[in-house]
Amino acid sequence: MSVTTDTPLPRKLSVRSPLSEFVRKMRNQRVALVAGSFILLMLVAAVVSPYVLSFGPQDFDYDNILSKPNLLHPAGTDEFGRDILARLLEGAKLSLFIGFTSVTVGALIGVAFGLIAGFYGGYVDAFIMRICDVLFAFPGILLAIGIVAILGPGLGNVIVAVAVFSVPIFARIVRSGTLALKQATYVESARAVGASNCVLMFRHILPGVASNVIIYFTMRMGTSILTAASLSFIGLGVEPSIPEWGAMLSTGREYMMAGEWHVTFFPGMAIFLTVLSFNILGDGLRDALDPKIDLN
Amino acid sequence: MFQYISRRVLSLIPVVFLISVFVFLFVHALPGDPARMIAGETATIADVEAVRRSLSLDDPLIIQYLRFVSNVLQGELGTSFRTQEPVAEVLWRAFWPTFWLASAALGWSLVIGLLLGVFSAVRRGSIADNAGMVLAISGISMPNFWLGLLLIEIFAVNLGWFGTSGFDEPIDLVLPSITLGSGVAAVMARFTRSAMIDVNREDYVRTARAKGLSEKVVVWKHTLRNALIPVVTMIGLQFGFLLGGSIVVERVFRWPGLGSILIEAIQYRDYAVVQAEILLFSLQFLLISLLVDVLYAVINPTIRYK
Repeated sequence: MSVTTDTPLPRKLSVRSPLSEFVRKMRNQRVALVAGSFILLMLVAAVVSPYVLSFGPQDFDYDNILSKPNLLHPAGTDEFGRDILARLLEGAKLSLFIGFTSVTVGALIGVAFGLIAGFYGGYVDAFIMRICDVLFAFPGILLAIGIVAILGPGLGNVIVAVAVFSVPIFARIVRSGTLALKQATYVESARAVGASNCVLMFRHILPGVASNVIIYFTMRMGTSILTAASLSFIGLGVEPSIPEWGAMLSTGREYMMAGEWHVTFFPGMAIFLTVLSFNILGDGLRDALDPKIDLN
Repeated sequence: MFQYISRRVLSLIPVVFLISVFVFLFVHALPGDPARMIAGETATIADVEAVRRSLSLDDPLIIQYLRFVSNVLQGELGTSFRTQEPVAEVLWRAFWPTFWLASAALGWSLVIGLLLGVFSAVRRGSIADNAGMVLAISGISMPNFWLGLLLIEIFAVNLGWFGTSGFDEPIDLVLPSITLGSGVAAVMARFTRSAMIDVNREDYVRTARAKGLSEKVVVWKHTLRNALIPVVTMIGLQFGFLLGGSIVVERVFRWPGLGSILIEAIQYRDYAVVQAEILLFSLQFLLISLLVDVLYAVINPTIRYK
């Protein structure tokens, strides 16, 4: 995302709040706004789809098995005559849910680790970062497969497996932010007036690293949705009967070979567009939240 | 240099230790009786007892762990309960298809990714740059299993240029390696571009331009050589993506490699194979990151004296 230059405005002397500053910069991130709107739109469509579509995600239509996209079934039907659009929208809820919960869990743990490691330093820091290094060293999907191999497949275990590999990234970025901020004058002053370590960490340092956490949160959403879909694709995710995007692609493989392109095309497109939107939104947020990038 | 490498190798010891403990505990972390798990679901009570005795699962954990390590060091990885073959042989057979797949993918994606990154940086802000970066972020967001299915659909099913699955001859590498390498090429392109742009701001690059060197020499000799330093560390991380990605891509193309073996072993609860595979994948990854760090020290002399 390149930084677009504004037409020079007369420099205002009034102090802008961080929020208005963010809104001002974000307004110029048009592609990111489109990406964000797409995610919102998909979420809304997923929520209202049961009331709007004439077919549910589990309704069998035996007269229309593996039918190509048509007016009745805009994305066609699968091998049981189930409406693929309805299943995709049902899958959207699931993917967003898995993405959101796993990244939230990963971020909470990672942020806590990062704050503690950066704030206390010494052995605590070395210990936490060593664990993170080991976790970070593993390809995410391999770690997730290992965890699912132990816990078994299923929704909850997929969330755990995907959450674990978000931890080290959050720990790292929060740690480096904490290291810089704990020597900032305002943190020193707070310490001087007797703020406890806990208050220093959560009240003073955490808000300072929040923008980085938000950026990575958005980007991890995309990665986590992709990993969860990969797990389902290789048969280690949610149950195959659940309309999960990766699982739909996996069962669609054989039908695609027989010439039914739509059974894999639409689920793949859904994953691609969702992950792409989160990545673009993350890029845009980074440009808008980074104080070093000023548009003037 | 020697000192740097030996320090780096020594720093691996705690990591290797942690991994070995994790892999060892893996079987014990499984719900239920590890002897029953290793013997398999269809095993009789006598089989289970035989496994328990052969693995001495009644011994204290620490003794079991030491025995596990000494077995692994001797190349003794146990027996697959499903095929009754030694695990080491199963892995050795599956290693080569994965090796060729990952090498082919890494090879093309590094070259394309670097070139795309350099050209985007040189023509920064142009239509070609924007198009290249759209391509790159799309490549990062693309589920590789979907890309694989699309390629099969177009080039194998419709055009009939390639087979749809398996690894019988080198031409079978084409579609899987394109699938596996696309994400790496995209990441490399983005990363190289931003590294090139950063280096381009340096004084020595301006000096090179000011003394009248041609743009070609400035880009390839001054900018790229220094931009390569962060790029090389990136290659190590990318190899991890490749190893992880190969598990999924092998599934798409029914590739007879380590990934397929791993998934199959998990599905059949063939835990001796799963355990050995996780160990192998981890060690492979550590070895690659070690090599990358050494390479890093070769191209960036300052790192050695830190």
